[in-house]
Amino acid sequence: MTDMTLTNLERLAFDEAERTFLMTEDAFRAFYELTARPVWLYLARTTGDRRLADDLLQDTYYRFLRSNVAFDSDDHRRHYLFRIATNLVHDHRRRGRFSAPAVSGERAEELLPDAGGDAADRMARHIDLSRAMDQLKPRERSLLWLAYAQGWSHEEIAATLGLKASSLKSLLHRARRRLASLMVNPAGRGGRS
Amino acid sequence: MTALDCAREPEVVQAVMEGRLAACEDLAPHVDACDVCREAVAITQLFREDRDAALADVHLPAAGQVWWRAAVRARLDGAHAAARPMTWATGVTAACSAGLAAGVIGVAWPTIDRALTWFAERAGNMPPATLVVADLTATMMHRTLPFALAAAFVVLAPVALFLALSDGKR
Repeated sequence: MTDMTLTNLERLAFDEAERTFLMTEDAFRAFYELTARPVWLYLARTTGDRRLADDLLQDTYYRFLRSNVAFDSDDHRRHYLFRIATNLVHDHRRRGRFSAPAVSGERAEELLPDAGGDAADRMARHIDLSRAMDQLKPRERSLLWLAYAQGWSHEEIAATLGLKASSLKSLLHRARRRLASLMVNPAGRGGRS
Repeated sequence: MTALDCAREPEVVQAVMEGRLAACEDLAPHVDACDVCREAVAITQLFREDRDAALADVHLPAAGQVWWRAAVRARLDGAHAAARPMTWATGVTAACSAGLAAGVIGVAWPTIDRALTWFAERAGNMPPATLVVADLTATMMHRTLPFALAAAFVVLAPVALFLALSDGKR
């Protein structure tokens, strides 16, 4: 009897979802498989918190599904998703739900637990990067991640972060200089001291 | 003066992302000569390494699970949105009832006043000790009852509104 009730409720929720969301479940599954990992990683790197990234990921897709936007292309859809993720991170910061994380080697290891091969070197670089990233402003983190981890163009980044494309070059330059100055050992810049 | 930007930076970053920078004969010498591109290469390599390592260890919920949660949440949000007008109606009704009660008391106040006066006149037949107490009580009621009712309205109306509207909140 309980199973029947639950099944009915689930079916109701699913039927309603099909009507409410502008995407079928199959289309969503395909889109999710393509985008979930990069979005999660973006959230984890911009917040510095894996658990928060888990929560925000669900929230990001919920808001995406509830959005009433006509997308021109898959790229437009993907950029919109990242825009939602960026706004959620900023909202959480504004509400004071998390403060700027202070990275420790311990937390950095948690973010990169499986370093094999040149494990020590990679771990050192990773800790260095995490510590430097945590000292950047949220917008600088987003800019750098989208430009150099996602490999997006300036126009794509500007559209996603709601910035002017003309000011992006200088913002990105400043963020890059700041990251380089905060890192003990930027990759490809000589040996580790 | 350090250059802000290099026209070839997107091309260089793309080559690093695709792992073909070393194979690009024209790009590699440019990277050696250009500060902006050299820095971009260093940061891209670092980010890519970090990204690839982290991606290998990501445990995400299944698409169906995310869809299901979104569907349930959409249903709950829909129910809350549908209940909101009812909640407001309840609150407004509560406030109106309180206002109406205060109004009725205001209209009936002359009758209450007459009743108190009648009671005071009859009190003349009472023993002196009882008379003093009755007189004091009547005077106090006469003077303070409107204020007490007004104060009760001021306190209770917002409380009633809060209780009615808080039903809609989690």
